[in-house]
Amino acid sequence: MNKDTEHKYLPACILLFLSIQLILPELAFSQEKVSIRGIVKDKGTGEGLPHVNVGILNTKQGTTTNADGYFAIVNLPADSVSLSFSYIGYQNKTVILDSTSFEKLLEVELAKTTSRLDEVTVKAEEYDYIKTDRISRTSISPRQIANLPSIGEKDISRALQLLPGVSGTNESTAGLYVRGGTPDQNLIVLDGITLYKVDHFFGFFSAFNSNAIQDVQLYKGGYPAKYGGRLSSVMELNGRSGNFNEFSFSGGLSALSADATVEFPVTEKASVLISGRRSYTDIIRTGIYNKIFGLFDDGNTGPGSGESGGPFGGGQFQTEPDFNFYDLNTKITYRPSQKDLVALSLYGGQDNLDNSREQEFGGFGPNSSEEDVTDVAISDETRWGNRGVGLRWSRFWNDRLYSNAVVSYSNYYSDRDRRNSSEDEERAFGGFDIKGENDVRDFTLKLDTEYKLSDSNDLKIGGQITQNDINYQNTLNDTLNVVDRSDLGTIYSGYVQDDWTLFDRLWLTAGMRASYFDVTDEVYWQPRASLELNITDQLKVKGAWGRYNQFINRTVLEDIQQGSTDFWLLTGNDGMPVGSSEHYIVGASYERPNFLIDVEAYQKDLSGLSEYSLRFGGPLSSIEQEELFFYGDGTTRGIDVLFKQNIGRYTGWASYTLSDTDYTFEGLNNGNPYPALHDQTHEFKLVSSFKHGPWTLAANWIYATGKPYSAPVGYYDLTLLDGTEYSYLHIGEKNGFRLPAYHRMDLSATYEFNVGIQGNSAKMGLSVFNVYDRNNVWYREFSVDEQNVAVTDINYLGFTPNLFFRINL
Amino acid sequence: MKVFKILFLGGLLFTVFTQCDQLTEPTGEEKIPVVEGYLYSNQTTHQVQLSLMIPLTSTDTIPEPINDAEVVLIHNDATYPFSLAPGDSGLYQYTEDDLIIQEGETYALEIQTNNRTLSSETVVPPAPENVSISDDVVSIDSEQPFIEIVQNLPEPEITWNNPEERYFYIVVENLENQPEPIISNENAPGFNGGLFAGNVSFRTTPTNDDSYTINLRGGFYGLHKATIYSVNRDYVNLYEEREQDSRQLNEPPTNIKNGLGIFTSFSSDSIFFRVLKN
Repeated sequence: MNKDTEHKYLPACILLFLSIQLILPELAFSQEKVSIRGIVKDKGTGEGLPHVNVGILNTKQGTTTNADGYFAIVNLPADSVSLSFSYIGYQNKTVILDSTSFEKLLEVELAKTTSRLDEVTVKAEEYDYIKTDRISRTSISPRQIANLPSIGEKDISRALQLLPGVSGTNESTAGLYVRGGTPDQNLIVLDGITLYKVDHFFGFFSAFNSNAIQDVQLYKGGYPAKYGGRLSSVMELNGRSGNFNEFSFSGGLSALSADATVEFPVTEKASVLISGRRSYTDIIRTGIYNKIFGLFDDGNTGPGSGESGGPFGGGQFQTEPDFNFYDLNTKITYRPSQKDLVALSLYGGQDNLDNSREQEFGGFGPNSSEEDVTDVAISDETRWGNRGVGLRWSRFWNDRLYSNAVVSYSNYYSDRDRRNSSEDEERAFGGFDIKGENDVRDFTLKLDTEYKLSDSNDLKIGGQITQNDINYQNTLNDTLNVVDRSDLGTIYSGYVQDDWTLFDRLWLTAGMRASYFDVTDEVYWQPRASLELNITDQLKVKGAWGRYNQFINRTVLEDIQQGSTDFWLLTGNDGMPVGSSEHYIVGASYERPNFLIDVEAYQKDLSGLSEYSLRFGGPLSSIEQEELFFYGDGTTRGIDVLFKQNIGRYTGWASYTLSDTDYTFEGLNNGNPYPALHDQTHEFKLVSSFKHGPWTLAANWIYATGKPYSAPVGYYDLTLLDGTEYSYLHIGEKNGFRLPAYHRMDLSATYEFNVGIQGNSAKMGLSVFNVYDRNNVWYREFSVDEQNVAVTDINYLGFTPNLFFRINL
Repeated sequence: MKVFKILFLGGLLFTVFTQCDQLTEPTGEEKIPVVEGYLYSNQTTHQVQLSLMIPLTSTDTIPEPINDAEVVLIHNDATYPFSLAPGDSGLYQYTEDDLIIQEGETYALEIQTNNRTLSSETVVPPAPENVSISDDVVSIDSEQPFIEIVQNLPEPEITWNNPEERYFYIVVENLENQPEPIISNENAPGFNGGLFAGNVSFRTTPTNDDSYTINLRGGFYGLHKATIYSVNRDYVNLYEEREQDSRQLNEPPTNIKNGLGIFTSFSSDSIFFRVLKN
């Protein structure tokens, strides 16, 4: 056989070999194989637990529970089988199956890891905060992150920012910068509802109420074909379903907000959970509130104040803005049979900022009187938030076929309405009338099905239809439409994905996602593949590759004087291209019971990026939308390293990220590449937690290279024809400078105790953010006066303590 | 285990001690020419001002004029060399009467200085059409109290055609030799704000509207001339957002290749009105 002939038959041989691997287990029925289906529940509440690892003891086979806690395993030997169950934040459990186990739905209850006062030892493998199992995928326990230091609220986004590859230096946004991606490139799904903005309180807290969230999974890249619509990453949150066993209540109080959660069974088959938070900052202004709000208020003028010197100049004045936020999660879960589950999830959250004030103008000169004074009332109200509803029906049709159907509606809105009203000549005082509205509506219908071809092969097929209805208006003085867009687009997507385990050592996922976008009338093919190979029981190598598309972009315009604005726009219109990316990931991990070291190197090629610039955003100019946007490409590459260790009462991890993110935009920086605004070469994070009796002590330390920024290198004056002389800055290379390095340490101490006769559990604690009061620079402001260019460093939060208390009844 | 600990501690130390912050303070010594050139239609005198950008590292506050440049205006392949005005001015002008700026025509500017070639061009915008005013004579009852004079000031409105939403700016000037203020600044200074603000003329920022209401507060009695200048987008762009910070700092708009500043042109039409004291 010559070489050509060998090559000719080689693919066929491989295919045959793999096919045998696929069907061999099916042919082995002579060994009397059985299937099992079960549900893993929280022992205390009866809630189904998602993403629990279910392993067959003494083999490398296993599965994970789905979002409702159900699992199924086919082709089990009929005798002498034990299953192990492990889940982050819960005690491990082993169940020995007997002949009766296969006849009905197996119910397994896992108990939470606790820190009871009499508890002496904590098993290392159970005391965990995060879990990294598949390539670029990490889970965190929302319940356990309460023990980590926080700014004011225990926060899921802040906890994720402690992972490698997720930037931990963005204090002013709860959105995630994942491996060089921006927050809008991160798909956020809560119980099937797509969320479009997750910021509370100008981004210092996320909109996720961790009391209502059971499980969080973050895919940092290379995510499978099941997900789509974003270029960089996926954050999937499963809401808690509530207590199926008894009525329970928990409440908490921090320096910013109060929260309460009630959950109760309706029947044996149904439960309800209602969880809400509200800040009380409009009633009591705590120190932490003043600190954060101070970053967004320049101290003596409100947004849009019309600084003196403008054509309709106003004065300087003090304002006392009112601010509050709230969110409410509700979930009703109904299990009509052992095969079905129906869940209705509702989410609503909003931030309100009222910066209205009254101002007196006039009354100058020796002969003036009180009658000469003109009162100007400025109404300035801003609100932004999300609301969504999702109805989900999942069903195990049999031991092999599972389906999950979701219909959801999500609405993100961001409105600002600033109006002047005065007794006389209203345009002469107080600045402009501004009205901005961004309304994003998402209607989604989604079906995911999963069929177990064999004990080692899961076939997943699904489809999704998403319609985006997006409106954005920005109006000055009721007449001048700066931006006025109304876009409607529908994305029809379908996928097929195969998860395959070969030789008990190779885990392979291959899939294809196709999306038809009616705005561009094009089909976008997105192949994806990943594999993991266990070289030994401890050592694993892995890799992933995939293509991704994004059809909706979020643009952030951070403007201190006028108030920050962000808005989503549909791609495919007015020259805005559909975003696309390609991920390449390779890595290895070494894991022992007490420690894990995980290394992943990645590259992500991005195209169709957009950048918004108000370069021509003069208040009197009518702006053509196309002129505000620049389009280009980007590349981000880096290495993530995670080292995690559990030693008895101690758990902690160190993470390091080396990365480089460059953009190339034709209209910016003369078409030359420049570092993206969020580029950080090094980021090092240490997280430590120590349990001692009722106490949990935790500490974080973050160090990161300063972010790039653009800076003026000179200035010049031009005399305009209205007689004014303006100074203009000449800017050096775009993002050619670096801010000072960012670093900070946070500490927390949590004390758990029992109260009352019934011994209800409670905890209280102190969290200190930025312990050594490092002045981390957020950005630099430049202004030109007659003498020179003044540079002002705007810093992030300094030393910020916070007390919190929580009780469970 | 010790190996890993050593590796991480080593990595930490390496990160902290080798990762010196890159350049954090801007430095720039480049001498970049700045151009200010405005052409007016139907005029024969034309000027271009040249100076150097002031580096941030400099303690100077007055820009250094460029006095050794060759400045040429080009129209229809004909070249018109500008000459340097007397003194250390950096002002170049063309005063011959063979160059009359015409609406709709394209004019190119070329400057040679310090082995550097700067260039730009402008298309002269059309003059505003059908300029009219609501009242060419308005009167004020000067016997009223000051506050009522201000509250009852007439508001003559200038209108013009602007279906394409082009840009204009307006100059209003009093033509009297000794203009009499509507309200004496000495008696009631608090009432003399507004756009006139006690001066005999004012100019507006660009607008893409088709009308302008004149606010006479702080103004004068007598004959007034209102001129509507049609301007190019290059000029409008100069009225950019004034506030800039490091997150969205961009080069200010300029239509000068290989330099900074502005070269643009205007066309205009005028109308007159009179403010009477009864």
